[in-house]
Amino acid sequence: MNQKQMESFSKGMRRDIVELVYRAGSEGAHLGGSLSLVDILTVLYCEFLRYDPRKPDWEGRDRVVLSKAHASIGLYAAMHMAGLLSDTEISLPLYGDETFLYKHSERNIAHGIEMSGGSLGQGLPFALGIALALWKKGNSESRIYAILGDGECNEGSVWEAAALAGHLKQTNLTVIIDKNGLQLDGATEEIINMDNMEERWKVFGFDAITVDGHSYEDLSKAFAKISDRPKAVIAQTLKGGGVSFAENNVDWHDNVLTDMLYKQAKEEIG
Amino acid sequence: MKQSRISSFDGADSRKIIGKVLAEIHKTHPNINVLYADVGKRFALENFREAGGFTLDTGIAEQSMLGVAAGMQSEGLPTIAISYAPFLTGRAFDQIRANIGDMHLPLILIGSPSGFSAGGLGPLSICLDDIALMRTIPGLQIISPADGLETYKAILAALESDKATYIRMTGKILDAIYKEDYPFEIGKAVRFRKGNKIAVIATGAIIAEVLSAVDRLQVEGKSVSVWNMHTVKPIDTDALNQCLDCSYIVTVEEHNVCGGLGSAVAEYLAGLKAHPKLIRLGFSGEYPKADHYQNLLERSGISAEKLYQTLSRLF
Repeated sequence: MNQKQMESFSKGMRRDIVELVYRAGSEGAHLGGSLSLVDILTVLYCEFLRYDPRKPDWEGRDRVVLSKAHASIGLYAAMHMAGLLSDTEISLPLYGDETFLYKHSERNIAHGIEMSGGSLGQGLPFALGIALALWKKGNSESRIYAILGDGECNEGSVWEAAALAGHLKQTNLTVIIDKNGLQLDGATEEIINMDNMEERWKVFGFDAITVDGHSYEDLSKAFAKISDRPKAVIAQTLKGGGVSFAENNVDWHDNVLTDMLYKQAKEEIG
Repeated sequence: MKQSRISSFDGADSRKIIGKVLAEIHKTHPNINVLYADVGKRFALENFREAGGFTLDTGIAEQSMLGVAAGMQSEGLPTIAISYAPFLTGRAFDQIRANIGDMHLPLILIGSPSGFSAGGLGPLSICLDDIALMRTIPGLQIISPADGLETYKAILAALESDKATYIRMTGKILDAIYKEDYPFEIGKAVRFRKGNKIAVIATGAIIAEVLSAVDRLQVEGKSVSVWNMHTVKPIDTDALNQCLDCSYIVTVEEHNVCGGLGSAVAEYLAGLKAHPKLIRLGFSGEYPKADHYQNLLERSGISAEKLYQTLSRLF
């Protein structure tokens, strides 16, 4: 896919994200962390992932495990742009029995959603289990991408699984850290300073690299690299990127889009 | 089942029996995968490995183990996760909520030692709350086998049920309660003795103490019903209905009387218009200090001697 097509994919994602957050109404939704994922998911879905929109649970698919599942709206937007969710499906509500698109994703293999989220720190162990299972099943084609937040890396279970993945040299596993620098209570470096993130993953046995999480080229190079270890791509991103009032603004981790802000967000995205 | 196989499960250590049983199950279910948190030697898992079974030591990391096991199960691989009961069910409780309660992945969890089995190690190794925790997980079956043969049958039935199951191992040395083959069904209690005035409902290895006490009473001409409620969830309400004509129902468990078998029975009885008086025996109060298994049973009033005294007073 060329640069222009990918830009169009990203733009479509941002539009979907704003629509979904607006639809969340007075309960609000996670605009910031969904927007920080846009370019990462664009590169994955446009350039790397093996998937079949007619059969989302295809055995040969690559698996995406969104561990920072508060950004599920970002995943749905990517799935919609990739044809894995129809126009009707992306218009479903976010609450109740008549939908399957919740603010924290629910496992739904028929639609290619691998894991239920909402409890941080659980995605990497789960992804590692999938990675092992694929090896056991003789599926050497599919890759597993586990997407974690930088704040999420406070959770000890992340490092339990990281140690095991490094020990097992689980080469079909790629961890992506959406390093947007903010978590619920503030700047990640002020809460627990984990700024030497790349070094941390290397110590745990990963082939780690830090990239500009909004550069298609950087992300693409990092995902394409072949390694004899599991990979960790630390993507430096802008939380809320693309919507000025949400950019790098901790208040927009989870917030309500008023009619006025919704209008402004739509105009800015175009 | 061959009598020789049944006797081979007799007198086993409540932890080492697991490796032996899994090696046996591997013969009919070669695709099972076993994950454990640095407890391979304790559970004699080399037996399973030598039989050709897949094992993975996830290190001392129960939370990660649950997630890895769930990921494997999500790809259709039948997976069993094993660790010390308090850490498997307590530390990894949130992982169990997500992977079993929410995603309904049919994992099998084996926790041992549970109850007072690890009493010598002190209060944090004594596991008296796992049933209470696991009962809250939607769809999770809970089985506490009475002996080695029942352990084999419980794991086999759990695999074939395709439902998530927690197997809770209590006791130290599991002398055979079942001397010959019998039909095991998840959720269907087994009656060992018959009596009209008192029905004792027990779960786990403690059934041996119950039978010892009840057989002493029998010599005195006092009959007591004894039910092995091997499945705590779903509880066998048909069996409970058969106890309703008694004056007393006595539950016996190596567990806190809050949240365990006694609570499950109380919850059922509370919904009835009338029911026998319920006496819940087990642990209550402050966590016990480290002590020998038998001493801990004695202090909780569930040793054969204490049970004999309590039941005698009810006649």
